[in-house]
Amino acid sequence: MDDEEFAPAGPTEDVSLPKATIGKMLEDMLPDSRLTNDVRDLFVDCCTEFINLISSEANDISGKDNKKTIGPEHVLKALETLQFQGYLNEVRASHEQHKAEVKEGPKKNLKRARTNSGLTPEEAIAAQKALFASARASCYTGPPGAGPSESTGS
Amino acid sequence: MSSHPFIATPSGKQGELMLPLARVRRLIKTEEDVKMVSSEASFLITKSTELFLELLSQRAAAIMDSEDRTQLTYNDVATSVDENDPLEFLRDIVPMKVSGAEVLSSMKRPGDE
Repeated sequence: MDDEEFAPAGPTEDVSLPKATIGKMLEDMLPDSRLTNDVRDLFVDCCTEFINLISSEANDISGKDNKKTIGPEHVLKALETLQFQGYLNEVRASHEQHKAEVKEGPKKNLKRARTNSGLTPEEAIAAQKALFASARASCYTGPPGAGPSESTGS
Repeated sequence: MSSHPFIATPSGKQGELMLPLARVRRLIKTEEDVKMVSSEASFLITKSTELFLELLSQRAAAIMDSEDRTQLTYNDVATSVDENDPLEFLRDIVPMKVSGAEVLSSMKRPGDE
């Protein structure tokens, strides 16, 4: 049900992982170490190579499974085959967590938004009213030529 | 504390990803013979890559630590790749560097023996 069909990216396309993200992850993982840009680039290349490896292996496994789509079970099998069994539990757990979060998603976000500001609904409405009032006031008292109070539509 | 809302601690909130899913998906598709990949599989591959990065960096850092250094070097990464079987696939990307002198001395020149 979650199969997605994509056209192949093509051999000329140069896709890479974001250096900044990986750099930040490395900083978080090794807080007391220093890395040159070269070494950071190296990690980016290694991650890309890892993705190639897993994708290739998972694809083979899906083929043997007579499936045209790489599914989660193929990826897990690929990890095992490539001697990354140590990841299986964490990856599986992450997957379960992700599925659970996706289900709850929208509701969860609403709840967070409502309680985030620390105001009760009445306080929030009052604050909003005050904001509108001051915005209206500044429209009339602003210096002439300061800028149009009505949008020109741009 | 990171200012970026989606990057958590290294161990991460389990269900969230730090690497961009869409980018990883595109990488998966550049692989020959791959036709379709489910969104779940893409998620798992992305998560695995994050764990892999952690593994590789920690192995390299262990070598750095053992020599009382704080600067992570190419050789630290190359040595971890060389010494760990699951990292064999990286041996072309991160080959062990041999010094010129070592290469020369290991080369047998005609008339030397």
